[in-house]
Amino acid sequence: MLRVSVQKTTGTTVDLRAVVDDRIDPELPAGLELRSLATAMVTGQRLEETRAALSRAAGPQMAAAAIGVCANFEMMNRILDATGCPAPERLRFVAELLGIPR
Amino acid sequence: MSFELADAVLPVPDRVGEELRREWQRLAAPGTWLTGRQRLAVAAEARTARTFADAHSELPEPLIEAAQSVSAAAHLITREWVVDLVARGVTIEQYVEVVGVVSRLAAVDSYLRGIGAQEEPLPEPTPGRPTGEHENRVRWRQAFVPTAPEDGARFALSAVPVEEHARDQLHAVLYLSTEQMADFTYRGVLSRAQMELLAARVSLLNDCFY
Repeated sequence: MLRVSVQKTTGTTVDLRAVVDDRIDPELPAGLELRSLATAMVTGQRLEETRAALSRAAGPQMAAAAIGVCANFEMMNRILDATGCPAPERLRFVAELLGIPR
Repeated sequence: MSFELADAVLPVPDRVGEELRREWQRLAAPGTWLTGRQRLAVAAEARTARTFADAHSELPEPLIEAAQSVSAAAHLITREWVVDLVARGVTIEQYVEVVGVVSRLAAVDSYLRGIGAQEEPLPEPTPGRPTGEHENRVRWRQAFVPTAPEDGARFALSAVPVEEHARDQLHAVLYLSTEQMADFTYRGVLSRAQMELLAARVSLLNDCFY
């Protein structure tokens, strides 16, 4: 969905490997800060630091919205894993591109 | 009043605060297959499981195991484990209700931690009996649980429609509504691409197979 949404909104493409590889810039506004915040939300490490960095880069409203998205996927990840709902075939290319075993 | 969020370091939109309070009411109330007291015990087990402890609740052991597993090790859950859980006395509908309760609690607690607020104490249970309303439209497909009209993220909890609706409500205020999800050009405070970067990163780090 990341690739589709970027193409539809900006007419450009994004390197999906930026999700898994910290050496690759997501090339989105505040993309580096967003990725760092998502990492901190899951691991619990450097949360204050990454939250403050995103607030400085994009404002506190965006930081709060980003935290909401991360929290939502803490919910959705558990639901999907616990119920075993299969991922749609149309998304299989993403796992292959990122080298994620399924 | 719950969720005053006085110690939050980021602004919390009113609609998010309202939904968090509604979620606490749902958590405390009798569900479809569990009482309010049982739902809160599930929540307590889910919270303590994150620190590899247990809450010493009075729930049957398989329900405790379900709550702890969905909370702290969802990525390790297999079809065989769910089958075994059912063989040990948890109905598949009870399991789906546990998944709903625990997963929404994970979202609430994660959100509070993210905005710098203290963990909200669990509410007192609302007395009453579970409704016991069967959802007759669901069918077994590829998922570990029966669904309707199909397997998929939107319908994963459809065997217990109240849980599906609650997920939908929380999903809409923290991320996107179903209608907004279908619109890839939708933009709120974050662009859709920024949201998907966050979603993909969280899912990767949680080892979510989806």
